[in-house]
Parts: sequence; C-alpha cells; structure tokens
Amino acid sequence: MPERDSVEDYVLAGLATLAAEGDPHATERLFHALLPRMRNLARYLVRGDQDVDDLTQEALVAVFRGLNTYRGDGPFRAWADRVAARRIFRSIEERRAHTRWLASDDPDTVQHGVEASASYLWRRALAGSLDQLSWEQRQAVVLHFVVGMTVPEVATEVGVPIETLRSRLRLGMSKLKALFAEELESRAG
Amino acid sequence: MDEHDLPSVFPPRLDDAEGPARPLGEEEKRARVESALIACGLRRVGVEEPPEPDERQSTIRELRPRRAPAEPRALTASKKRRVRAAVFAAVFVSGTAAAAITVGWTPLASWLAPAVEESPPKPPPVKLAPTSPALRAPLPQEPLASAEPSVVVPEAPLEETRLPSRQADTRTIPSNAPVAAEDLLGEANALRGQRRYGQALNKYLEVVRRHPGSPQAGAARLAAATLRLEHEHDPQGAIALLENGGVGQVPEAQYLLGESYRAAGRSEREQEVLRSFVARHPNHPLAPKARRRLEALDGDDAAHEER
Repeated sequence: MPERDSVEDYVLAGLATLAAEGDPHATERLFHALLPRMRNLARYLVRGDQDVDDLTQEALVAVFRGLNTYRGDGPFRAWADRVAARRIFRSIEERRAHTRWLASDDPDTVQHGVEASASYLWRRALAGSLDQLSWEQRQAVVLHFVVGMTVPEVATEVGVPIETLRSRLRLGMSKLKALFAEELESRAG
Repeated sequence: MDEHDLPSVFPPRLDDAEGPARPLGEEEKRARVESALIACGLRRVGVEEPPEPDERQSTIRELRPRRAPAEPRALTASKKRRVRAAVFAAVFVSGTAAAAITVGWTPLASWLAPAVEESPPKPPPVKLAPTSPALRAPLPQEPLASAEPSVVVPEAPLEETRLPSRQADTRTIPSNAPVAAEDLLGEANALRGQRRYGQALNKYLEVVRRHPGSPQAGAARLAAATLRLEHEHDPQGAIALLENGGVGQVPEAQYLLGESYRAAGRSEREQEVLRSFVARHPNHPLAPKARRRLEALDGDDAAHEER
C-alpha cells in the first residue's frame, strides 16, 4: 500500500513537475529531498556500503528521466521508490552478471562522530541480516515489505511466477527473522 | 539497543530516516546531489554554480507571478517584502499544482501557467490521466461562486423557472452537498490562476473548513496564508492559518510564518521562527535568505543595545 498523501508529497510532486520541465533548481531540491530515501533503499538492496552511493546516483537519474511518466495517480514518493527500486535492482543484476556480487560491509561505525541512535543501529543490524540472504530472497523481501510493491508487481519485476515469489517471501522472512535475532544477540554480547 | 526504540514493523517501510545507509555530512550530501545533477545533464563539470540566489533571484524565480497591479503609495514601502512573499507563493504554486496533477484534473495542470507568464504557453510536460469524465470537464469561465454548488440543475418547467422558490432551489441543489477536497482545491487553484485572489482565498478556506484533516487542507492553509499576506496584506490572518492545522513541519510554511511575523512587525517571533527553520532545514534553498535575515535582525539588536 502506498503511504498516505501528505503535504510534503504534494510539494514534491510540484517540484517534480518543474523538474520535468528541466528546472535545475527544482531538480536540485527534489534530489535533496529524495537522497536519504534512495540511499536507504540502495543499502537495503545491496550487500555492503561500497556501492550505495553509485546506485543512489543511478536511481536519482532514473527518477529524473522518468518524471514525464509520473501521472499523479498516487503519492510521489511511492512512485519514486518504485522507479528507484527497479533501477537499483537492474544495476545489481548487471553487476552480478559482469563482475562481482558486491563487496562485504565496512566496519559498522557511524561517521562524523555522531552518536548512533537505537533506530539507526537496529536498521544496520537488519541490513547486516539482509546481507546474508540469497539475492533472490533479498530482492523479494525488500521490494515487497520495504518498498511496498504488491506480490504480482514484484513477481513481474523479477520475472518469476507468483507462487515462486510467495515461496521466496516466506522462506526469506523466516530466515531473516532468525538471522536478525542472531545479529541482535551478537551485537548485544 | 533499547527495544522501545525499535520500529514496530519488521522489516520497516522505506523512509527518510537515518539508516541503514550510513549518514552523510552536509557537504557530502551536496556533492552527491551535484553528481546526480551532472549525470542528468543539468550541471556541467567544472562550471561554477551561479551565486546563491538573492532576494530578487529566487531559486524559483521563473515562477514569480507577473508584476502586481499598481498598489497604493502607502503599500509600496513594503514592496520588497511582498516580492519575497510572492516568491514563497511560487514555491507553494509548485506544490498545489502537483495536487491538481495528483488528482488528475487536467485543467488544473495549468496552475503553473499563469505564474510563469510572459512566455507563449507550452504543452504540459506531465501527461495527466483524468480519473473520471467529470474531472475532464473544462474549467468554468464564469465566476465559480455563481457555479457553486457544482451540481447540474435539471431543466425545470417554465412556470417554476419564472417563479423560483428558494426552498425549491435548496432541495434541488443542496448547499451542503459533499465536494471532494481535491475538487475544491482544484477550483481554488484555478481561481488563483485567473488572479481572482479574493475568491481563491475563500475557496482555500472552504477546503480547510470542509476537509480539516485532509492533506489538501494543509496545502490550502499554506496557499490561503500566502494570499492573505501577499494580497490581503493581512499578516495576522496568515499567522493564524500557519500556527494551526499542522502545517508547521512544512519548510515553506515555516519560512512564510517568519515572513508573516516580519510583516506584522513582530521581530522577536520572526527571529524564533527563522532560527527554527534554519536549524531544521539547513539545506533548504530558502535557508540562506533566512540566515541573512537573521544576521540583519541580530545586527539591529546589537545596534539597539549600543544606543
């Protein structure tokens, strides 16, 4: 389910309209607004931190190039999430095919001397658990539960039958919960 | 990790909060956005950006409404202030235009057109998909006040037409007929686009009154406050709208609130609001202007103390 429309969504959609006309200032503001979200999405999908910013840039460019296809029939952020998820998903597939299945994580530290919030650490632990899932399970779990795409949408996106996707979701979530519990335990210990 | 701080949904839905991506510093964020703009062909490598837009060169100056009609002499002293308010209005124009697009009302896509002005009309770049035949209807040309409520009146027998009964009218066209928030907002936007600011203001207020909890009400509050400040010269009215209704988290609303306090001559509140705005949204395109204004206010305070 796409998240509820908000004033922010209207403002973002307005910026998107201007950006689609090629207004660089509106595009800049739009990118600033979307950047944290796109980086989070990239990190949910990709193993490790090294490729996050490259993938984010590709996602932002894809959103920009797709602005003319935004028909305004839903919240702008939900639309942008889907466009970005598809772009990141394809980029990862290409990278897996040609080079590597993405680097392992850096040491889990917080930059800039900022004290990490519990929520941030929790999400990092979740990403660490996702890193241990198979790519197929990970993409299913992230696209469905994190991005909010429906099961048929995800099945179409990854090119598998709906039943196969349901199976991946079930197994993926079961494994993810177990891994996450272990991850929390190890961090607490 | 305290379990009370943990999200209740597993895994959490995608959002803008910190994590799982590593946090970036402000400079890094700017650099990432810059790279993306270069990749989109909107920036050239090695070309310096134009200087920070000043009060006459807003980041959205292209949307500034055409020069306002001649004002009484007493009002021209505040012209500069109104220009900034107009700039803000343009920020909001972009948001509410999106509302029109969001609801798929084709005529409202022209929300931006009157504000851009002076250039020949361009075809709308965003393809709109009207959601229902009713919404595809062209915008009425006569004042919308006379068209309200927007219910088609069935043809009546001649006798009844000659002697219209007020009671009969209200039965045929109930004045409290439900009108969708997006439709009302669309009507308000259209009126504003036609520069019928008074009627537009009333229509925005109607959105707020009839649909107080809707996201359209937030957008309408912001637009109504802009009109009150810019066209009604009623900063107190703008403040009343902005201080209530939960639009305080929207950056543009915060900035406009600061402008309204300035227009009302309440510089202490203006300072508070602008400080809060800059602290919460340090990278917002209006933040440099807010900082400059704060510096000016601080300078005034210092001069005042010296005296």
